[in-house]
Amino acid sequence: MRRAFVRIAACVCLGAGLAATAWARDLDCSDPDRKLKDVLRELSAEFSSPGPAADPASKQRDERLTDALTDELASRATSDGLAIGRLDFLRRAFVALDLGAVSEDENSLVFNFNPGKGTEKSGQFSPRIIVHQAALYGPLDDEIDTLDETIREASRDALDKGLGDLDDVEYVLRYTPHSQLPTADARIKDVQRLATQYYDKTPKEMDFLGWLQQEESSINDALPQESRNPFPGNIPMGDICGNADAKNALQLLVNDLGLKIAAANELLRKRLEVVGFFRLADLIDGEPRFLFNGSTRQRADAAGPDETTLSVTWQIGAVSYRGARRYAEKKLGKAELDVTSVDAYFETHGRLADSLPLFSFVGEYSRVSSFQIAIPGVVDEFRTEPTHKLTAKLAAGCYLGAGHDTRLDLTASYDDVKDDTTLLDRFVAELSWTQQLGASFAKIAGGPEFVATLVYANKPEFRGAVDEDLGLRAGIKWSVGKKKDGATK
Amino acid sequence: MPAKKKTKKLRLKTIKKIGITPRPPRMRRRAAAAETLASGTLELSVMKKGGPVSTSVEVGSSGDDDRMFSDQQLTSGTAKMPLLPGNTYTVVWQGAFVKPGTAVLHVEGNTSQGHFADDVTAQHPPLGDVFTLVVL
Repeated sequence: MRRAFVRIAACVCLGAGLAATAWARDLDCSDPDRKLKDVLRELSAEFSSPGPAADPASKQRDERLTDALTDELASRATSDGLAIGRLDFLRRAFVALDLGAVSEDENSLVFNFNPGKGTEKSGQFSPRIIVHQAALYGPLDDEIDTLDETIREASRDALDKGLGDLDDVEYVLRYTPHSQLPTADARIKDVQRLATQYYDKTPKEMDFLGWLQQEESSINDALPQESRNPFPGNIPMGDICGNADAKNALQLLVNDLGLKIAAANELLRKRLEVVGFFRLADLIDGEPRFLFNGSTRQRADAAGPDETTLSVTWQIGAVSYRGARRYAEKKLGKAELDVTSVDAYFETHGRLADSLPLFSFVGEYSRVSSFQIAIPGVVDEFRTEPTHKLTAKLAAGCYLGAGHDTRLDLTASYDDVKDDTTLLDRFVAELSWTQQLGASFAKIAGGPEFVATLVYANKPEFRGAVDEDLGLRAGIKWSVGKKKDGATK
Repeated sequence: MPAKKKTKKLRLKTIKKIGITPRPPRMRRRAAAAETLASGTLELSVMKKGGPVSTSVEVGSSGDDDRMFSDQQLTSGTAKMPLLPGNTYTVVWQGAFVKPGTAVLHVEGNTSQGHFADDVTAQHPPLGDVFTLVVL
């Protein structure tokens, strides 16, 4: 547990060094030669960055959620009185230093680091740390189930109490290489041309400019004639701080700047969403590409053995730049993409939210270390041997009909397991039918989709929980309203 | 006198032949007046890396010469505007990133109080996918 704390703290400190300049904020009058524009640039950059200052409402919401999870994790860590303080410290430090975003789900707290600077040429590195809610290792729990009733609960409780909040931590690094082909540069250049077309046709008049102009004029007007400037931003802070009226006017400006910038950004974002500016990212992401992923999951005590995983993915999206080009040429007779042809392409190739890429193939290697722990009340140690596994996964999806309300997704995976007789070699395939529900039906169902999944496994124990048995190796499960992952009847 | 008239007609004919539409006299007068009155100039241009990213600049004036420069104008060369005497100006740079990247705004001004030049950088991340920066 201490080892995990030191590792995460080291990551936070390393990131803090890189982000120190972004965090620094100087609103005082100690430097009289500093210009007003420098102060306003720094503040507006801060208010345009996602983080605690940018959106106070979401900050409060995130803090409430994170606090709840922290309490939950800490409640398990009865052996360590400092547990809540440490995780809470790391979370707060991570957010305060603007190292990235913290997200959470039912069982984990995820620290997503901002991608490193200067990686545009080679590709993008996306590091993150996942603090899982530590729980008894599955096979160990199964072993305890086989114990005599008289000692079973006592043994489980003793092991459970030994689990701390940082006893199950995963370190993940994803790398998305940029294509080095000359065609990749040409593609980005062309999407840039489209982005300019989308952006320039978006209305941009903002009240913010009128307000700012008035505020800056007030500062200018408060100063003696010789200190005034056609660009008030060029006035030295020394002149402003030396004049009570100008200083007050600046204070008023600074007080409202955060909210005004947040509102201006939100207005622009909404307008750009309406015209379809941001979906240009789908054209780039949908191009055939490789993703590399490496992770190591460090567990302590009864949480289980350490795990290391390396994987490579090749995928192609349901929409892509090449697809848009082909569509414009063949269907619209246009040699070059423009806003109209891209709009038409997205209209005919719309996609269900969060659906799989059109096709992806994953090759993965994972290694689980050996594990041994003494179970209270039992003479023999619980022990598992190290295992290695090679996995191949395939996923493909397509739409049925022109309406794009119905989608079929196929996923299949095969595990070649070494050194573990409990897992053996497994093959599991799932075929899912997703139907987008109408607005009124979705309201009754509590969600926008109906999903039915046919599951086949080469051995019954690998099939998982299903709603209806079709045979020992096959079953069907479905959900109405919720997404496939959280499948419920 | 008759010779002068002939020359004028020939010039107009030549202009029409090569396809140049002369600006309406009213606009020409207004632009000329602004240039005459101008106490300086403001020049803006944007360089990009990564992205795609698109930006625009709005110049607010205490007079009635507000201006907006599009992404096309900022990236295809240097966008210019005259500055009128007695007016104060505010410059705001907005933009949006489709993917991570960097945009640099070069701003240069000549005013009665001298010359200034600055480079302002917008990088996503740490900036969000949409940004509003007060430049001046």
